[in-house]
This record gives sequence, structure tokens and C-alpha cells, in this order.
Amino acid sequence: MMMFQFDSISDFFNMGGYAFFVWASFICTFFCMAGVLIQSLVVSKKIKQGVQKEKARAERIMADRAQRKLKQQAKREAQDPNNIDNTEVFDEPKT
Amino acid sequence: MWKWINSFAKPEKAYWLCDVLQNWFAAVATTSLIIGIVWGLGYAPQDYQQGDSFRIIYIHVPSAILAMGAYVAMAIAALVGVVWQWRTAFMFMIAIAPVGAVMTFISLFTGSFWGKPMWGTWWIWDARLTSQLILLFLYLGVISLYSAFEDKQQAGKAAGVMAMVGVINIPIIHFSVEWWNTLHQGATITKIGKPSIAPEMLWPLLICILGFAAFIGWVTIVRMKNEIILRDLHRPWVAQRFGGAEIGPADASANAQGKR
Amino acid sequence: MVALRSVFLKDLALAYRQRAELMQPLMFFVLVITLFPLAIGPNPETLQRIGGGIIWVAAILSLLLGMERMFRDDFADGSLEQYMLSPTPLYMIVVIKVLTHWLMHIVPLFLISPLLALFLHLTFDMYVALMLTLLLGTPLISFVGAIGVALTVGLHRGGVLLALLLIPIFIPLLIFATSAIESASMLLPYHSQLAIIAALLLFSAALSPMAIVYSLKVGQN
Repeated sequence: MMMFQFDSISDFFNMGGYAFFVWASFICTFFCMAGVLIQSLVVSKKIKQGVQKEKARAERIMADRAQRKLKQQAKREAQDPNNIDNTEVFDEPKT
Repeated sequence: MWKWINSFAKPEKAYWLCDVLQNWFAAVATTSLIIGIVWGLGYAPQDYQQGDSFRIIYIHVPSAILAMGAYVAMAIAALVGVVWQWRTAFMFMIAIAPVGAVMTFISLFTGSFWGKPMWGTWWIWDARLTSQLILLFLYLGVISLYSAFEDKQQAGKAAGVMAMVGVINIPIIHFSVEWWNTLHQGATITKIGKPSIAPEMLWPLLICILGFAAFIGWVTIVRMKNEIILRDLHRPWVAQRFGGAEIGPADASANAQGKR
Repeated sequence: MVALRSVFLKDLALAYRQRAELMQPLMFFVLVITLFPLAIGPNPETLQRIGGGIIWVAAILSLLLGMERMFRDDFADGSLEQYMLSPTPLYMIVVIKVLTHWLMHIVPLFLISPLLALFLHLTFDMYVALMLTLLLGTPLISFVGAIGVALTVGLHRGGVLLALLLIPIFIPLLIFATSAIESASMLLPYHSQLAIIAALLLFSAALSPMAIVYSLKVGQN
């Protein structure tokens, strides 16, 4: 019942004389399907990389801001540790 | 009763569902396609009339049926989007559209290459090929209408209307083209009717249909995930899911007052 | 009712002021039909054989060209928004607009058609069939076309996209109309084709206004 229908591999490639049509159809189908699949996966990867880059960038910016803020605070502490001159302001604008 | 289904209107939930389903569809698609095509190419018995060229049936019929099926799925998604205002429905619609168009193209190409040895001509205006050609135009119309709008929410609704108008027209087009074809049938007799198909030939066909359907599902899921992320790019859940950078102690205070 | 009458008269008046623009699709129609004898050769039998088809294809193309007018000017000067906000249902306004547009485009087409029948050597029976199919089919084109126009009203280069969207939808109409003309050429009855076209017309007349209203809202965003 389930036997290989061709006498040899070269017969298989020949497809009873219809080689060109059968193989062209199968190959075109394969490339179209693989193409759409691969394109979708590639886009998916690019999007994920983009998101990660954006997040890393956002985090770098926030880290930078935090650093600057700490430095400023340290500077003010060094000048006037106990707030004798009443120069420390408590309602600071965000930097 | 079906309230839980409404949660899939949220992109995040839909993305989760896609994640769960993706590998399933991939597995079913690859195994079915490999089994079906190898069986069909090598092990199905030869057709007594058409010889080995009939093996093209194993890609022509699945792609033709599913091209139509994908359009119906697209139209149903459009309906859900328009009636219930689900953004994710429009995302599904635009995800499946190119896949369906590729399937239609494959059915036309393989149909043409099957026709040449059978009818002696590369193209023939028989009812089925003509309907498939019109179906391809309908797909391309939906895709181009969607891409013409910048606001993707508006684009989804517009393309959705077009998809629904198209789906209503598909039976009309089929009927009219079939009628037109029988009216104008000249000397060429199209033999691709519904011959009684032997079971040894039928099983690989069914497996191929399953394989193609799973493949369409797989690619659509990947594309839908892409669409969801693209549309929700600046939402916190996206950054949470995919962000790579670690949050160190120095940033903790900044994060407390930083953007949230 | 008063509002609808005023929409009707306003559209007529505006169209009359822009009659040069109305002539353009008509000229396109005539020119396209003129191209065919030039391209295919003047043999009367050939022209008669394909005449019905040529006229219908040219009619579809030229109606598509002129369809943008339906909502474009109203969109540009803001009256479309006013229609949407007015107490008169947009549904009724849309129906009036579509019918007015159809009248304005079909009447010149009808008037010029004897000439075209002459160009393509159509017999009298074919000519009658042509007129009947145009009468029944062109409102269908207007109704369904209006959906496409409403969707693309805000787009810059909506013209060709409109044609791409709508032509596949008009294929069944084309098939039945040309088949009616062909039957007429063989002196066979063509009631069934006309009936189907009429059915398509009624179906689209019933359903398309809702779709047009929705599409207008989508297009306006």
C-alpha cells in the first residue's frame, strides 16, 4: 500500500516527465512560504532589539540624572553640613 | 458568560495568548507539512490520467482553500473590531492579510503550472482561477487601504469595512464567475472538477491542508505579535517584557521619582 | 425633509457651477471607447461583438473617476462635519447625496450613449439592453462606490486606491451586464441577467447607506 512510487531517485526527480512543472510549483511555494515566515521573524527580532535599546537608553538617562543629583547634594553638604546659613531649599525643581 | 473573552481586547493579553499558541502552531505546521508533502510527492499513487503532475494538488488545493479561509477569518476579525471595538481584532486582520495574499498567489502560480501540462496553456479563465485572481485583488485592496492611513486605529476600521464588503462579495463573485465561465466555455474542458479521489491520495491532501492551515496560523501569530508591540511600543508592559538592561542600586532613587 | 431637499438642491447647484468638471468623466468615457476601434481595427463585426463589454468597462472606469466628487468638496469645506452633527439623520443625507451624484453622472452618459452605440455598431436590441443594464447597474456603482469614497475621503492620493478597491467589487455587475447585452445581440431574452442586477442593486441600496455612514465617520476620524 505505502510504497515509494518511483523506481529510482532520478525517476523521482523526473516526475514522469512533468519535472519542470511539479518542481517549479513546489519550489516557488516553498520560497513564498519560507519568505513570509522569515520576514515576519526578522521583523520580530528587530522590534525586540529596538525595544531593548530604547529601554537601555532610558535607563542610561535616568542613571545619569541620578548621578548628577547625588553630586549636587554632596556639594551642598560639603559647603554647609548643618544648614546654618539656611540656604538649603526644600522645594527643589526637578533636575 | 463570555466575559473572559473580552480580556483579549487588551493587547497585552492577546500577546500572551499568541506566545502560548505560537510553538504549537509551529510544531503542527512543520510536522504536517513534512509528512504531507513527502507522502504526496513520493508515496501517493500516480493518477491514471494526469500522471505525476497531479502531485501539484498537494499544494494547489490547500493553498486555494485556505486563501479563501484566511479571507473569511480576516473579515470576521474585521467584524469583531468594528462591532466590539477590539484593537487586537484589527491587528489580527492586518496580520493575516499578507499571509492570505501569499497563499492566493501560491494557488494561482501552482494552478498555472498545473494547467500547462493539463490544458496546454499557462493561464485559463476558468471559474476557479479567475475567482482566485479576484480574491488576490481583494487582499491587495485591504492591505493598501490599511497602509494609506497614518493613524492605525483609523486604518484598521477602514480596512475592516473593505474586508467586510469583500467577504459579502465573494459568494457573488464566485457565482457570477462560474456562470460566466460555463457561458463562455469554448473547446477547453476544465477537468479539475471534483473527481472521486482515492483514499491513498486523499490522506496526504488532508494532512497538507492541516499543515498549510497551521502554517498560516503560525505566521499570523508572529505577525500579530509584531503588530501588537509596534502599536504598544511605549507602554510599560512592553518595556517590562523585553527590556534587557538591569536596574542597579544607583538608579533606585531616580526610579522612585523618575518616570513611571 | 426640508433639510434633505436643500441637500439635493445644493448638490445640484454646486454641480451646475462646476459643470466643466462634470464633463471630464464623460469625455474620458468617450475617449476610452474611441480608443478601442483604433486599437483593434474598425471591423464592424468585431466591434459589435465586444461593444457591450467596452462600453461597460469604460462606464465603470469613468464613474470611478468622477466618484470622488461625492464627498470631497464637502470634506474640504467642512460641511461634511456639519452633516454629521445635524439633527437630520446622516443616513438620509447620504442616500440623497448618492442619488444626486448618480443622477448627475448618469444623465450625460445616457445622452451620449446613442453616439457610442453608433461608434461600436451596436444593434438596436443591444442598445436597449445596454440602456437597461446601465439604468439598473449605475446606481449600484454609485452606492457601493460611495463606501469606498467615504473611506478614502481624507486621503491625499485616494483616487487610484479607490479604483483598486472597487473594481473587484464591480466584476459581477460587469459580467451580468455584458452577458445581457450579448444575449440581446443574439435576440435571446435577458430578463434573468436584469433580475440579478436589480437584486444586487436592491441589496446594496439597502445595506450600503449604513456602511457609508460608518465609513464617513472613520474617514473623518
